[in-house]
Amino acid sequence: MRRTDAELEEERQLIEAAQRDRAAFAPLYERYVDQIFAYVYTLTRDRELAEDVTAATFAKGLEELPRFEWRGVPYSSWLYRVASNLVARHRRRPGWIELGPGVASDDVSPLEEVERRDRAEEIRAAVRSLPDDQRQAVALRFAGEMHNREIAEIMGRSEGAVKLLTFRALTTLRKHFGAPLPAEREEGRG
Amino acid sequence: MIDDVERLDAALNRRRIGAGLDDLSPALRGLVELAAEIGDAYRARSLTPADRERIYAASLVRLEAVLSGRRHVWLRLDGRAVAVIGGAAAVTAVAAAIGVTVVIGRRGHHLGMAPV
Repeated sequence: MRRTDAELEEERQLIEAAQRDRAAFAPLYERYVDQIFAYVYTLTRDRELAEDVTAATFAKGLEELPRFEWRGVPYSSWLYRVASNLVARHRRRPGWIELGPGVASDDVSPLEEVERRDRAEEIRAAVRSLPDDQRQAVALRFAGEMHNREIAEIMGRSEGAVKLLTFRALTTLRKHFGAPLPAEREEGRG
Repeated sequence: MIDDVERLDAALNRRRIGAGLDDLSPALRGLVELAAEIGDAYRARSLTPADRERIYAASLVRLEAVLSGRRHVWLRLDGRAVAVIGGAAAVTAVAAAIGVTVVIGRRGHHLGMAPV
């Protein structure tokens, strides 16, 4: 989902407001906390650690606000980089333990909303089940909306390797879900 | 297989700019649609309001710790700049010198500093 110029301009204004007054950082936090948490949880598969790293990511965001320079890309790109670095730093420490996936819950909501949320969690859980490199590539590309070049830089891999990781990950996930996707169902009917 | 990798990558990039995918094979179109669903899943809310508040509070505590630590470091010793080099032990020593408590996070995941 590509951002429109208007959305980017709105984000620039939010950042400038937060730079004038840290209290105005809240809308940026609200906008991105769930996806940064989901990304970190995808990498760590440890909910408690994911919360810690997410908190550290936004603390860094607040700390660096005065020096942040708008470059016309979503603020989330910068947050994903910080989160990636923090996870990598934790991984280099002894005692890194990866646990099985947990389930995020939310308030009671209408059936459709529950189904949508369940499906989203099902997909995130499937991504968490991928090998390390594949799940990071997939999360950065489709959640972080990053280009191959940026992902390659973060992961220390070539762009070709990122493309291959993405292909393998999607193929694995496709097999995992089994049921034909909409395009294939249409094809079957046609 | 390399062709498929490149074709999928090109299709994902086209999708990103809103271009049509009518010429794709069903298999590749399925992967592109799955990619879109993954993006949606990650942008969906996964935290409760209480989770979000808790994480934000933790962010502010960390920020305060960093800012107060930095302020102390730069103000102490009559304005002499102090480089903190080394790991937790060095940080602990500096923290003790400047009057902050070093708090080891749960399970040793993080090292935060809070003003005494």
